[in-house]
Amino acid sequence: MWRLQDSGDESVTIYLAAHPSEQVLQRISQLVVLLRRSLGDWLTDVVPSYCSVTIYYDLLRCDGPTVAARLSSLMETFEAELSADTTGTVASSEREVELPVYYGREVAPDLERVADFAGLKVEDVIRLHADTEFRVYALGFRPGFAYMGETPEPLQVPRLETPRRSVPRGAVAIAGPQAAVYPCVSPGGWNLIGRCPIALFDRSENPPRVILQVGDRVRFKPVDKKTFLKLGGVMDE
Amino acid sequence: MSDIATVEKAGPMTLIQDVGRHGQQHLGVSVGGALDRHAAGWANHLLGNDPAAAVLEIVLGPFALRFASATCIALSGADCGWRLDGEPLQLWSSHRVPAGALLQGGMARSGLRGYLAVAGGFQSTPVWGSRATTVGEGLGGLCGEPLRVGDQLPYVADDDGLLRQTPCEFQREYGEQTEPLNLRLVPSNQFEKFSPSARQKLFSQSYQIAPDSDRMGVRLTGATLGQVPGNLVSEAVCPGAVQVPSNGQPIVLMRDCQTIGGYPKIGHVYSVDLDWLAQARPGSRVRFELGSLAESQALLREQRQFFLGARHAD
Repeated sequence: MWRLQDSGDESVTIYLAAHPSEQVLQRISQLVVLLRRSLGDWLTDVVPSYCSVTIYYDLLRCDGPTVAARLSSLMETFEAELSADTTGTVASSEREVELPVYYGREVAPDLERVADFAGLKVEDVIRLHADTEFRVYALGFRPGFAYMGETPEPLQVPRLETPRRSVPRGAVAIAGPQAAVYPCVSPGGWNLIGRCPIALFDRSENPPRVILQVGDRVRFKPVDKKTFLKLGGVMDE
Repeated sequence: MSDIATVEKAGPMTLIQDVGRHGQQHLGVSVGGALDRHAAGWANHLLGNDPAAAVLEIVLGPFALRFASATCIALSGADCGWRLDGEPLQLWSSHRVPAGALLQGGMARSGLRGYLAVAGGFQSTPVWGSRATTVGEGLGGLCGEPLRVGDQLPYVADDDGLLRQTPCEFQREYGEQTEPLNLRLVPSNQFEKFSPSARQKLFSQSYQIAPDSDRMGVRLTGATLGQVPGNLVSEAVCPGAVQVPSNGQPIVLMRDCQTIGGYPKIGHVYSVDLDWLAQARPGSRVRFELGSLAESQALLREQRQFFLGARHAD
């Protein structure tokens, strides 16, 4: 089940499902690989999200109807391959990424409140968060900002009523079923429970390095303050 | 030979821009680029520059720039009353600039964004192949920020450039609007999810441009569209898309917009009409007109081909 929809003068969106799920994410990751491999130089970008993939193209190299025709035929092949392949050998882009997190109180202003909400001890909140395998469902909001899911049910705290004006770079955050690490300083309304020393959007290189991509399996690994600082983590002034 | 132009007046928001940073939206990186591609395109074209050369986008002014070495420049877009060492310069034209000359522009008399191109384009470090400044991301330009007094912009000294003028039919004026600006809209994405009355309202009223509009989005105020579809599962969004949040007031996404979003989209505005919208001041009025993807794409292709092809014909 899929549907093509023009979404701009140079973009088409393929809708694959109505609701996000692990299976949908799997299909999307596989489709992104196939699109990048199969489409010609008229393709400028492939942007996956929770239930859809958007294809950007160059209007000077390809017109709308041709793009639609090529995508339709590619989608038919893709669906046929998928239904024939129950073992999951169609390549997907998933990788495993481990992110160190310092859960110290001085960088986790909402940890206590999350523990109260969950009716758990702070140590248990940390354990639950660090024992969860998260998947990256989408990238957006800011460069390198990865929307991850799914936060364990007891920790699904709603976002703050009043967003903070400034959330520090590296802040490890949760809101409802979602989880993220802020790649740069920005306003934000999610609950901050730790700090990651790794730059998820590293501007010291050109082009900047982006660590996470859609489909990645992410685990958070608790580290102490000394390790956090050694890995390049910074405390607030 | 590389030379330096020094910013003497920076204005409220002057940015190094080009055709934008394409192909990195999957990383959450905005496209960015000159908001008025018609004006920016002509500024480059007048000098025989590559259409992707970096220009300055000057919001309102005042702005002043001193050129260390002789070169050629071109001016387009909003009318800032440009002067070179005190002598008035014509807009939509290219000009020779002697070594040490000071270019000065005042507050724009009409329009919102003036464009200044230099022969060969302004040089700065490209990021993913683009010099476009996206302030929210801190990318492009000089350190990802608007220009400040004292900033030094490298350029290639070249006073042998073309001196010419944009033909009258392509020169634009953005004077007092008596009629609302017409934005042609292609129904797309969630159009079918909007009620017939919401769709009818969108096309039958005019909207005012809100003061908190910026390079990410132009916010419109008018009679609410009433019941609109709820938020979606977030999906990719691109410049031109018209989002309608639950308050029923449309937002036209501009070139610095986020790469994904969760508000329902009733359609997208023709790319070539965004050039006009980029020059419309807060408080002025716009209205939507039903258009088609075929026409929108044909006009965009024509614009691109013009700036690419015309250059090769020189």
